[in-house]
Amino acid sequence: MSNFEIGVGGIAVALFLVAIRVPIGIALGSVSIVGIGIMTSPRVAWGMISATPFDFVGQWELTAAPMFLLMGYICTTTNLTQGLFHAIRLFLWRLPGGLAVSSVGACAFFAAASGSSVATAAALSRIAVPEMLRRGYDKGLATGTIAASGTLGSLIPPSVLLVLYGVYAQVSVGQLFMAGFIPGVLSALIYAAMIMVRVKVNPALAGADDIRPSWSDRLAALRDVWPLPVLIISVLGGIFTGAFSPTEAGAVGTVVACLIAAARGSLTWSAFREALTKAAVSTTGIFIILIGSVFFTRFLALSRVPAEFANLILSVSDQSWWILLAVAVIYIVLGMFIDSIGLLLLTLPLLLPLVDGAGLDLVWFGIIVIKLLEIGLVTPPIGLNVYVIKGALGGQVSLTDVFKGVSWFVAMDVITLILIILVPALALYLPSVMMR
Amino acid sequence: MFGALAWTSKTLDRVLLAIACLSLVVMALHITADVVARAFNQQVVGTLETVSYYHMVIAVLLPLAFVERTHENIRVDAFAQLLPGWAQLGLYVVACLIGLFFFGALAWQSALDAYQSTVRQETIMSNFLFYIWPSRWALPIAFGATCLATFVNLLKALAERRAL
Repeated sequence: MSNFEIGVGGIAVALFLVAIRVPIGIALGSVSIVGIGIMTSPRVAWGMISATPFDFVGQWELTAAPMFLLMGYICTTTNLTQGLFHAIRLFLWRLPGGLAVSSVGACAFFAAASGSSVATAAALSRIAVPEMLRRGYDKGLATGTIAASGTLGSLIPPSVLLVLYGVYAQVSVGQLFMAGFIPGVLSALIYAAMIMVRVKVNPALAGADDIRPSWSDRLAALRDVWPLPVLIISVLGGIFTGAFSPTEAGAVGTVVACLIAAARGSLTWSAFREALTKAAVSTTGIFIILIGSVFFTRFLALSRVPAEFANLILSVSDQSWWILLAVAVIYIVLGMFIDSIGLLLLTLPLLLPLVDGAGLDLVWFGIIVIKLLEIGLVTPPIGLNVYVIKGALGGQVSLTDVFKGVSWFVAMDVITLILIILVPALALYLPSVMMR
Repeated sequence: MFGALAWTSKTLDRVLLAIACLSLVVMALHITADVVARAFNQQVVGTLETVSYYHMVIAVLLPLAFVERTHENIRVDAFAQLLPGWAQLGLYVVACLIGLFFFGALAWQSALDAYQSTVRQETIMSNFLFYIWPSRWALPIAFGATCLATFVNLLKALAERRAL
């Protein structure tokens, strides 16, 4: 058997193992060890095991991942996000579908203080969805709004997915953070516009919000939401002004979040312990896939499968639309079954050589990939965010309701994606300003 | 016998998780202290080295056994859930055996590396003498404890005749 055949066989076996419920990192890692052992010699395989985990984990840039996760969990366990949705609602209640539009806004804000989509959806599902349902909102619209807006968590900085992509593709995480900002805000605006148009056309979708807030009510509500803006400004402001690097921002944000929570009296031992445990467990879950994925990259590189795959795609056309179409098909199909971090790390070893070979901008490509992964988070049959919301609400809504509701948002995501592809400046303008 | 093994594994993974959590706290404080010091034109010497080679390695790898025992590993359930119970158990046994192979290989090789690193008192290139051999032991401890957790899960699944 040639190395190429072993490589193709390895990909098939890895996908099979993933499908039969072997954890993704273990599937990738064990296939790579055996594959490299067959292609070269067992000694080379042992050498890879020897060098990789310690050197890879001990990378300064990767410290951002656990720190941003910890920061986000501290925000949720100490209730720093409480009041945010209510305050935004007092300002947007007049808009058609005001509660749903407020939910999108609250998600966008929370996304700027959390690195993860699932955490964002989970945080808002218990607050915003029950309120919308109580006011007679359509179930699909209420749940779809949160499931889809949760995905802003990975696009609006900080974002753990962008950190992982940056380290893997050797692109500046700071530039990626800047690049995600406009597409993230644009996604939120397009969601909000779609909600308003739908409710305008069919007012039955949204119930009436009977609050009539005065300006003093609004100012009083703002007093309650100061923690999140303070945290966001200290984290993003610090990065953008160069006071600290994106890598350091997670640690600073964690300390600031703890100080804010302590000042509000909500930093209890149990909340702190819960945040720490969740951050540690999520970090390890991600890193074991990272280690497996690094093994897999070495294995595939030896087999020359990525190079041949790139040649195959480029032989049809080297136009960027064709390459992006091929990438989109891969992500949308696999995204139905595999969660976003797993999918990102599973596919990058194969796709990066292709994208690099075609001369596409890796920052721009990163944002496109994140948007594609986010679509996978809300499409059936897996759609992790959908399950998060269903889990939070129990029997109040059916999975079909949520998936139906989310389909409108997926359509908007496709429009945003096309815009990012047609107008690369949407992603690349801010990083170019930063470079100057 | 099984009870004692399960207790040992559970106690061990909880202790390792607690150490990892502590490491996360120290990492946040250490990096923040360096940022604050820099604002005053000072620096905390060795932040990058200590955070990368100690806090990160400990925080990232030590919870692995806990993650394994509590099934927090990221895996794809969609297809397996469609199968009957006996087939799910069969696949779970296969997954555990592959896990034992993978973590066993990592534990074995990293233990050899840690031993050799200790013998030669391994350091890294830095502005000052920085030993990294102690942190190398985090790997065999984490991977070894994970093997134990996987083995306990396997026995439990077989005893209960269901996939965990």
